[in-house]
Amino acid sequence: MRISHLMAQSKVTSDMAHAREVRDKAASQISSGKKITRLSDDPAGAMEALRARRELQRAEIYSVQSQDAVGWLDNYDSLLSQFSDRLLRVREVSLYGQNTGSAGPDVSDALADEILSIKTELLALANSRYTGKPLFAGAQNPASVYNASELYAGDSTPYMRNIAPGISMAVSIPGPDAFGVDGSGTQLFQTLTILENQVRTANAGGITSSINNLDVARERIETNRISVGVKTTTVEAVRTQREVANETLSRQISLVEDADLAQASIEFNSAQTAYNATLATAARLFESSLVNYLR
Amino acid sequence: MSSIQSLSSALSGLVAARRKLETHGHNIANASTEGYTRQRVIQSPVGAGVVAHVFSTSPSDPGGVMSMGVERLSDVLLQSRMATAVEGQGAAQATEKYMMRIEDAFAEPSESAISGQLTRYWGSWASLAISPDSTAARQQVLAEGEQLAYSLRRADTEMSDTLTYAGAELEATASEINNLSEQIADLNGAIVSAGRNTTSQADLWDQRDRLVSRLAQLTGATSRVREDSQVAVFVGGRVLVDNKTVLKVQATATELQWAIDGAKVDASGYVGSLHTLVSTTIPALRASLDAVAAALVSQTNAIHTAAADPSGATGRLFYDPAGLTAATIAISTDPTNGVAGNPQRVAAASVAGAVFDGSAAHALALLGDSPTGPDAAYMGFLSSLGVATSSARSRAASSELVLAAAANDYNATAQVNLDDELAEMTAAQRAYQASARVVTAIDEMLDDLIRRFGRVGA
Repeated sequence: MRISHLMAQSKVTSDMAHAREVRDKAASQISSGKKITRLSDDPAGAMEALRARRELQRAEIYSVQSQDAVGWLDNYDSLLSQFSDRLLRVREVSLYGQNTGSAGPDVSDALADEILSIKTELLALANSRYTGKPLFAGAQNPASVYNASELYAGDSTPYMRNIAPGISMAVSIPGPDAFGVDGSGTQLFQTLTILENQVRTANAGGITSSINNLDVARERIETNRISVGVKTTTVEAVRTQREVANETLSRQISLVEDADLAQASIEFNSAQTAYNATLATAARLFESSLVNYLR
Repeated sequence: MSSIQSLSSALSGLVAARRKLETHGHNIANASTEGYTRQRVIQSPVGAGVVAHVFSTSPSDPGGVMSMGVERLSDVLLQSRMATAVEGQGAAQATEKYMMRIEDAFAEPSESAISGQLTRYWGSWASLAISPDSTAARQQVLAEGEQLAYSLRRADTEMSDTLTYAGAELEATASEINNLSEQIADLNGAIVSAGRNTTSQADLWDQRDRLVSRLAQLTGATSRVREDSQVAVFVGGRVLVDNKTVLKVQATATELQWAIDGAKVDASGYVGSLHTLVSTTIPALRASLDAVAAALVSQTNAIHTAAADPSGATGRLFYDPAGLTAATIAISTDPTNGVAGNPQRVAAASVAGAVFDGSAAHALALLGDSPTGPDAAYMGFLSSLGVATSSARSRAASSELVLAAAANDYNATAQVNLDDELAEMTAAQRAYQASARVVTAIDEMLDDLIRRFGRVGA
């Protein structure tokens, strides 16, 4: 093929530009640490990385929600166990009251006073708050969850927490769920009030049926405790699994987006060599011409 | 042949050699002129073609050489291949330029771009769901929603700017095309008057080829050289230039038209790509971004208007329900129900009056995972943008390679090689010296005849 001088010249110029481009691309991969800087560099890879990054960002939301969920559940666990303990004591006191009803009003009063003080204590516990929100009042904010006549002042809205994509969980227990519905006969605080009166009046028969009601209320609290425990385990399991998944996601992003430093360095070195060779060739290409040999 | 005739024959050799030297000098001078086609002197022996007929005298062939003029060493086939390559390169260049500009407007993949903002927007609703009583969380939701609306509006502005820019380019291209056409018509006249096989005609021809090639790049114009060396240029089957006639084009904001009847110029090349971008590609991209905005507005509002704010009121508007395009999306400024500047109107509760109820905010946060939500629509948009830009880039790169190959083949015959020219020049120089030697020899012969004739032995 016939080669004109202009062709040779423009070929060398474009070769130099190309060698420089390859070298600069490798250099920018090394300095930025990124393989993809714009969508069109690798649309499929970039979209995959975007999806993975989105999931990772969403995972942060889930991790905050899970943490909050664990906080709520831990609070319930400790509160409900205190309820359970105190109710056992009430049962003990009531049985004693039933058996020693004939011992005289002094003893009965003392026993009834203990039940009253436990009730006051439990009402205070029912008013507990977590991050400023009452634990047993649903979504309401009453000064006191149970009013002076032991009636529920909250609502039945549970707090939902999103612990993983597609997994929402109620982390709060509205009062009626934990302590029974008002007027159902087994509502904890109403039962305690009745029991207190019966112990004070040494009404042995009444005490027996109230103790049965109290057992139902205590059973309800135990059931709630178990369900809190199960939920805590679930949250923890999902959290662990999500941490593993997040690591996989990060690895995936890095695989698609991040430059392989060793490979980029090798590419840079070979591009640099090629560039130098192109420059050397270009410099020598135009040295010789027929002019040099004509006299 | 008389002795005097022999002298003139030798003289013709001198003249022809000088003529060749001149042409090689012209070639060398233009060795680095872009678009120059090397020229060669056509020579022919004198006397060739003398035909005997009734009144022809005895052969008095004067001998010698004659220069018939110069020719351009250009290959028509390779030239037309280059015109096709130039057209493809023009088309790919326009698409690449515009698609990359649009891609730049979105700056993806990046955490601070719209994809990240969407995630943060849903995240702010999730935070509000945890603390429905917090004013700070409400302000955060409002700020993220505002930022997202702003980014969508900005992206749409960038895209509509590219349309404006394309309109301006069409305007500039129309006047360039008219200018090129005028020049080609002028050159048509000059080429005819320069006369066949002259150096100046060859030079004018080069100039005209350059202009025609630029027209091919801009519009995919094809050309045909007529019998009388004038050129006719066609675009989309219609005449643009023929001999000295020029048909003008004009531009509107969206297309190139024939000035004479306002019909759209059926162009390929750069203008053809601009036509496609303005009429199809960019409007389609804007429509998919509008779909993202519409999904964001309607899905957010659907949940938000049903939810209750801290005062227990429902029907609060988060986004302006009228702003269903990327250009018009905005936080609602409705005086009675709009949340703009009024974080206490951001609703989080499903139950009116339940201060710690964040279930509506919770439902909003879940929209981020919805397969029919704005995120899914935006990811779809990004994917089609990425693929379109990537294919535009690779088409541009490959069209450059095709053009380089075609130009290489064409230039191999057309361009000047200095070594060739020097070798030819040396040969011409030798021919000149030899012809001069012939003159000397004949002169000596005549000298013998005139001075020494009849003095043999004296």
